[in-house]
Amino acid sequence: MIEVRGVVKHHRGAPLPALDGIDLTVPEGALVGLLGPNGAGKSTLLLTLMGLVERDRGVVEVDGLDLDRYPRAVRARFGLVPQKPAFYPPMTVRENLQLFAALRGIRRSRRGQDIQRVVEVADLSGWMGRRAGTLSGGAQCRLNLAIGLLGRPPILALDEPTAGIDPQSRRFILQAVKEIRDEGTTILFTSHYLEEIASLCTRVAVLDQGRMVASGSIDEVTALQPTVISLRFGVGPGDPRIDEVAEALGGRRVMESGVEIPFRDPGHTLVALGQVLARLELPLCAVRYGSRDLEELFFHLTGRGLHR
Amino acid sequence: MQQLPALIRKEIILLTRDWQGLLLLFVMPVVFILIMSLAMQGAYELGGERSERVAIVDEDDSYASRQLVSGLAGRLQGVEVLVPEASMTPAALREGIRDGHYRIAIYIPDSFEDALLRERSAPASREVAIYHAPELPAPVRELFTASLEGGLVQAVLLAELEGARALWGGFDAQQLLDDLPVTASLEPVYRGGGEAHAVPNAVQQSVPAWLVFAMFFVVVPLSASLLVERGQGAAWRLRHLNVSPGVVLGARFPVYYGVNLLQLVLMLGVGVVLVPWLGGERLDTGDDLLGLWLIGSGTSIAAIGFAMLVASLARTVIQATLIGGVMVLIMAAVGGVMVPKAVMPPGMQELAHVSPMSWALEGFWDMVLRYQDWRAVIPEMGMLAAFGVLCWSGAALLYNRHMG
Repeated sequence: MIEVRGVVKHHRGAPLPALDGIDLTVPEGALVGLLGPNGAGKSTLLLTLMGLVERDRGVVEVDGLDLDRYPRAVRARFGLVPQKPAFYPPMTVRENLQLFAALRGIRRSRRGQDIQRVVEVADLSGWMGRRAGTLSGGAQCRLNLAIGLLGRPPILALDEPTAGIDPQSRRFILQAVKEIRDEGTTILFTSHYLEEIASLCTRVAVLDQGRMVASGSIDEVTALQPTVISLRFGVGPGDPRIDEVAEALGGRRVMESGVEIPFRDPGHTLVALGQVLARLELPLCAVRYGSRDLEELFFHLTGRGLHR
Repeated sequence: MQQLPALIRKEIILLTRDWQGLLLLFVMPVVFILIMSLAMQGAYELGGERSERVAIVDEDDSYASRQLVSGLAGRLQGVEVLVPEASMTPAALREGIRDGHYRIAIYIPDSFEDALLRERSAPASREVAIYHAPELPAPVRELFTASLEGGLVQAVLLAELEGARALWGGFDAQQLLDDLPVTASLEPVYRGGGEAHAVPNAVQQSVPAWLVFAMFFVVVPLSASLLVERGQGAAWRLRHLNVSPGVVLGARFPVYYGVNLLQLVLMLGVGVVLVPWLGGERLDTGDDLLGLWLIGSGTSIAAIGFAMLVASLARTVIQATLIGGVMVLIMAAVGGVMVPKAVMPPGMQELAHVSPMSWALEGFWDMVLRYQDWRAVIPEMGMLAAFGVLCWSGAALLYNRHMG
């Protein structure tokens, strides 16, 4: 279990904090997706949890171990799959795996067995003699993953492990992550691909500009946002009554002749809607009602504009 | 304890697969040594295989002029005196210089002895002309002028004595001059005693100089290795796996120390075997291998420390290559690698002492030029090691800051 309380991190010279009072609880065996636009603080949070980036304030505990008191023990519980390929391109796949297995402290007698296991998980057996730098992008991502799995770490931190690779490799890695999750490994997974988070993760945390704007199970988080009713009217796009409806009910105009109205109290909203439509005598063509998906939630929480 | 051997093995693999780096470390200095040892042969001393040729035309052919010519030939060691058979005019002598047959010529006119002995109002020295090529080094020019003036003084003295002998008789003027106790004794004094050359010849200059230069050039592959590691995220993985910065930097030391020792053996081998085989002078390494190892080790500690510091200061491989390469070139230029310290003006010779390459060169010269024992290199080795440790400490601090 990972407990994060009030973590703050300022990078030197940056106008805004990279992490601004982050609280997060990751139960054992959970697969938590960290969502957020570029620069939101996802990678910094991952590195901070392992003490690889020093925080300014806050508490991090991993399986009851305080990061400040037992930094080496905390790091040893993590397997890390960084965003960039973190291995030595001039060395072969086998040499890289042997090197990192030795650095991980895996005993020589168990090293071959463990390497064999991660090679199977990452499907690298055909590439063992190839220099890592000559592998395709997908195979490099699989090698990155394999190195992170050495030594069977109880927690795996994956920092955008599928960024920039082909759909086949991406599907393979996601399947591998699911299998690792099923073995009981706690996983922290950052990604820009919202469908990855939705299909893989049991919990999600959304970061924006260093702040945690939402966290919990997928259902809990999606429930945070208001339900939306979409209306389309049988009038021309220039009809000013459409804007009046949007303004009266706190909605926004969408497409040419429609509005989208978010609400939390359906009874109150529907009564008010009926009254406004009756007063304005607006003919209603279509009504759609339902929750937003994760992507809508993401935009709702972090905005649609470009960040920083 | 598995981490250090694993990282050393990794560094060896990376280095042996970096062909450009290996060429830079081993082939470049060999080429420099060969070129400089053969091209500069005899250039550092007057009297080596390449002597200065001087044409002397004695139109007077008198007792005084013959005394002057023989005196000059005896006084100027390493000078090949050409006495043209046919009489030559000053214009023909100048033509000989233009055609490159010789770089200096002395013309003694037929009025020389008369001017010397009878016409005191027209000093003989004004009659004797020295022609020289403009590129003739000033010290050599001065040497010829001084020798000629000395010869003239001797000739005048001899002539006066001859006059006295004619008057009073009873002594041999030449014998009297030869017996005068005016010969200055010349004795080179070496640090720590022993007998050896004080000024290096071409191979004694080139081998240690380009060896030291090559040893410091580990800055290029070493800093590239550290920066690529840092840039690609492998450094994060190392930190995550609890590999301390000391081990990350320290694992590189034995590998590059080994490279530096290999360079030492190879470059000395080139000086001992290859240069003489190609017609150059042979490097005499003396017989104190311990001294060579000590100064080689000191140089290696300094070079590796310097490389680590450059790698920690730079943000990209290009930056490291530029900063490291340019700084090595400056240290080499100041420290007497490219221009021998012996030919530098005094101010520059003083400045040379700030360059670690100069300390290393002095240490190697203690061995291959002054033939001293290993104790002589301890001061230079100490300074190099201190410089290296200082650089290492700075590098470790900066590395920690980068990775924090």
